[in-house]
Amino acid sequence: MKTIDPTIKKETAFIAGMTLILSALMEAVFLIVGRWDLPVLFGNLLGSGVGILNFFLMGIGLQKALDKDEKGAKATVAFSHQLRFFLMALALVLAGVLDCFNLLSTVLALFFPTAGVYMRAFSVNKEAKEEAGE
Amino acid sequence: MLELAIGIILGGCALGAGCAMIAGIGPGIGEGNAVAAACEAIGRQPESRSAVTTTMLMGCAVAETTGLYALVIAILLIFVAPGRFVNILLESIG
Repeated sequence: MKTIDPTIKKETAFIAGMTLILSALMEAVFLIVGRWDLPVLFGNLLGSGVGILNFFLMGIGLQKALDKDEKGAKATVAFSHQLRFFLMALALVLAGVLDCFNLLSTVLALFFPTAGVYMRAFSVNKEAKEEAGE
Repeated sequence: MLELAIGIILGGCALGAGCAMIAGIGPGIGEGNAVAAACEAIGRQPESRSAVTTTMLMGCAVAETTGLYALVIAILLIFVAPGRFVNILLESIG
């Protein structure tokens, strides 16, 4: 089995950290508003877990695609995208059908990795500016 | 008559969810193009693999967000909207 690229490990760790922080913030907001209960926590765990797994699987898919030619890379990424889309749809359907998950907290938690990516982009820009300044 | 109205609401929600999922196709095509371009870039400059991978990973994650929006809208149309619309209908009838 091929080893996972260190870049993917590093980025996934960053995204997982950001998701954890945002999840804690969301739980705090639910507590303050007075709408916190166990389904909110379970929904948050489901959404953030699937979000992080989706990002990690995307990294692995991209790593595989980079070793192929242009046509093969496109096909690999499209297939990987369909599989991950199905995974997210499954998580959302579960959250909608089962009462032990709060749909709102699941949906919000699914967007946390994206929010982490935007924050990462800011930090990458900052690092680039600092390097250019040196 | 009420059954017909509820049926129209449910059908409309299902149709809307299906239409929303069309947006799920775009990110797949976009990611494919981004990775194809990254393959080309790495082929030209193999030493920049790490930097290209990071940028591509971030780009693909952002591109995927539109698909996620579509998915969420479809799920809300299936699980949340019908109940709300039927309630509104029943309230308006009285």
